[in-house]
Amino acid sequence: MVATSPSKYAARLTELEALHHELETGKRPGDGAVVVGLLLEAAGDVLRRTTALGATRANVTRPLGAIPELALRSWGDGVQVQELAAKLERAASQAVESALPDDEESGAAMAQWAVQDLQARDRLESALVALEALAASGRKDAQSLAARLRTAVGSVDRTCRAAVESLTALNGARRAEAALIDPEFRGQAWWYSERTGIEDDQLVQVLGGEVKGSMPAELKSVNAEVNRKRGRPVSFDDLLRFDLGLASPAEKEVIRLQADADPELKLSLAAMEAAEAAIAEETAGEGVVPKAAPVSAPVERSSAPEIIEERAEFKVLLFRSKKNVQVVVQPHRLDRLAAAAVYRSDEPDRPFPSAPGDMGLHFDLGPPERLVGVLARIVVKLVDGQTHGFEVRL
Amino acid sequence: MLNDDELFADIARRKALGQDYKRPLGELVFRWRDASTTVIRRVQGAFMRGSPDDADEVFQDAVAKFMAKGLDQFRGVSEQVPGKAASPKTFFLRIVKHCAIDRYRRQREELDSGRGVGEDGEEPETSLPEANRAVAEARAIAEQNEAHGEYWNAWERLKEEHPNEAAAWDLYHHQDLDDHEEVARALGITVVNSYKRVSRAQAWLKLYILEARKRDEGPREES
Repeated sequence: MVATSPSKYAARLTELEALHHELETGKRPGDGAVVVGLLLEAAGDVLRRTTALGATRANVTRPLGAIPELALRSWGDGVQVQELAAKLERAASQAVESALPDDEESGAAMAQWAVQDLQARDRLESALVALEALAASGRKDAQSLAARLRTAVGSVDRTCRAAVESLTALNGARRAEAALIDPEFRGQAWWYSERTGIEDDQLVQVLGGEVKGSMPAELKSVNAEVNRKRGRPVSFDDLLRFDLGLASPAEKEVIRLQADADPELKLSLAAMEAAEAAIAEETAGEGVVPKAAPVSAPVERSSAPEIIEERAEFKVLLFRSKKNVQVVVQPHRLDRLAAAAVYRSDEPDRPFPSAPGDMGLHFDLGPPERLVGVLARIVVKLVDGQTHGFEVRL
Repeated sequence: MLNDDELFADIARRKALGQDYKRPLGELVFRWRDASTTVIRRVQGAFMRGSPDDADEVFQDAVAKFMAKGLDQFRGVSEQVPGKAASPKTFFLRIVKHCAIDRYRRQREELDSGRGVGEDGEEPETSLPEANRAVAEARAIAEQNEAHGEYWNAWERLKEEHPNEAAAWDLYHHQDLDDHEEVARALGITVVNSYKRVSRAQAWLKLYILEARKRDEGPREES
């Protein structure tokens, strides 16, 4: 937990007086924008924490009234609202890392950095509150600047506030800060005050599955959605990245795992290699780097196949050898065949892997001793949508 | 006449300047048309699927992908893995190759959805019935919806912002590895790191979905 000491704000009144003096004497070089910024922050800190500091609004009236118009405009032009958005997003991200760290040390560092980013949002809020106080005193330049900045900051808040649950990991520090803010300003300071109940202190660990705890109602459906088992088939982009050598070790592992279980992916990898050879031929002399994609192992085959079916468009052959039984779908016209699949009656839901071979599309169904009494179902689809189904006893 | 590399450089320059580059791009890819057809045929041969008519569609698909992302991808690949992209032509032909592979992989899914035809032996040779086609279409729509659903949006964000956690989650959850020792081995990290990365991944995914839902609901009143 990151501690926030009330003493951090105790010197704000003194600092405010010092900055007021500096502004009036004009000792610091430049147009005064830096001093104006510091003065606005100090004044706003006082205005938002009058109870904790034992201060009143009168403490800030004279210092605010001393701000020159030109310096105020210069400060306003330099406020980077979008940077604030980036800091709040980073704070949300680091807060999660602080709750689920690789080790204690990094967790503490993450928490500290996250709180520093929240402090940046709070300092701008203080400056805005002070600017609005100046505007309320009748300063026209402060009125237009306050309106413009409040609109811009409001937009950032609307976006970043949606991530407030991440900040619950910093609840100890946030509660301490919120307690110092006067009640009328506390709600506006959502980065310190929203979802700071102790029941939310371990929310991030609960969401990460590290701690068992009650899940708030609005998060139950989210929890179920993420925990629901779902696969992620290898996509076009995954394969392209793999092919271009850009895949990370983890991405390669995903492809390997899926290729083991998915004959279509295995076939795609074989197609990748076959097409790469064509690319090499078409770009001869252009320095194409040859690829190495996994290919199906060749299968021993008997010399005399059984013809299971013969049509104008294709032929289905059955090869039996001592080692394996194999179905081959042999197209007479390549342009007519859309797809083929083979299933075994003992595993009716699993299509068997196929691989392109010298005679057509090959399906290795396994050793003959394991296929006694088993039926093979072959489905062939033509490009016009016609589907043909056959069965053969293995 | 400009050679391929010069024409490609001109296209890249026009794109960078926000100028129209479709005409020179059309000219460039037209030069690679025959080579593309050869690559598509080779993929068809490997899959034992497809027809000559497919080549047009695959080619158009590849041109669209090349325009959408390929021009920038080519530069990225050239910088990250010098020699891999080799030339704009080689890179384009690889996109063609993957468009063809994608097409024939998907054809197989259609076949799977219609494989019940004729199983009772009464109708061994028929056109794919409308009912099965409707089921296949419904499944495709459902998959598309799922692909663009809130979970996958959150997943894309996780990959972008926290690739290490995304990689661990992908193996552990999507690929059903379900074992931190195996995840750790695959990623070259410790078992404790695997456990932590998976925890952070699932926390972030849930928080991202919640965040997206809140943004969809619109602005809220201050508490």
